[in-house]
Amino acid sequence: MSSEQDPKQYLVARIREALAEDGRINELNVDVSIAGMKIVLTGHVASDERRDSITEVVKELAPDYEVMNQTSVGTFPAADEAESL
Amino acid sequence: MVRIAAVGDVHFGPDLSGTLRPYMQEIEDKADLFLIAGDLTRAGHEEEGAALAKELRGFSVPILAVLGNHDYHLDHQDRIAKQLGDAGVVVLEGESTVLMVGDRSVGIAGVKGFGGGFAGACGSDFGEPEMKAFVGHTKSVARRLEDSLRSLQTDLKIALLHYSPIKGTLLGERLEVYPFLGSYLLAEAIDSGGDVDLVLHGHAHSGKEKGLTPGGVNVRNVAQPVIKHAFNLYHLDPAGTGSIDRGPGFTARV
Repeated sequence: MSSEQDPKQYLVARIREALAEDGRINELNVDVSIAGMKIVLTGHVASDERRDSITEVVKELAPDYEVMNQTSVGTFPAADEAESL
Repeated sequence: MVRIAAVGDVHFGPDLSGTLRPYMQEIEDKADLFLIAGDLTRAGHEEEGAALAKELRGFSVPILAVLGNHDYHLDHQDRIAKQLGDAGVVVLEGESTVLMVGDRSVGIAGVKGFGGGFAGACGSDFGEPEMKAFVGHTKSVARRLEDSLRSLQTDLKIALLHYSPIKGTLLGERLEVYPFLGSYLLAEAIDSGGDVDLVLHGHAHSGKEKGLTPGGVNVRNVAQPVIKHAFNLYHLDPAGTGSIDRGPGFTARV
């Protein structure tokens, strides 16, 4: 069955599975949604390389869809004030 | 006072080399201990472990860590633990260690933990072998955590985990995945472990930072996507002392 014929919920599940299991990615925390023929990816990844790999793998999996990779990229700032416990 | 720097889920790899090192001075200035709550690597590759080991080598504050599920993915967890150990990081799994910070003893018990769910909505050690293995593993690591905590006779006790012991720090995650994010058995072990002061965990990237065990122990989810910082800082005052020690900190490992 091509990705066009698949019910969208199965396609979302297949993409999430690939994000977790594809050795180029292994990201379990990128959200996937589908609207019309667009796949929207959101969340945060640590490097441009990881973001590009995600786009590449999702495009391979669903070539008929437009992939909108909206994940933010970057590392985090130093700590704020300490919490006293 | 004992000053803790903590983070989880750094998911390190060669592409992140040089991104943690710039915080070294700040961690050394502001913390007595640096604790890392699992998922040290992106997918458990040895080169990812090597990149993190290189990044952490030479810190003057003691670094303690547990592994996370990502670090087990390629079955190289022992090699990753050794890479980090060779760089001076103490990797705990069902064990504890005692450090002196000034004249305060700090005991840290570390386990990765595992899933299973929370009281009222959890898996049981029943049925197919796969299900019994799943829940049995959680029971086993929870027992080791409780034993490690009980064995500590220190001014402060910290439990360092990857999986969550409570639902409170999972809020924001989808309810359906709670059984894969932690287990109440870990909280029960902590509450039975005797005067635990702080629990640190990661794993739940969409959860929230602060919670309490049913027994009232502070729990902090320090997964980097939750705290949105390179690390967080926590100050603990050993019960009954009330004094502040701003000295250089770490003096000896027992």
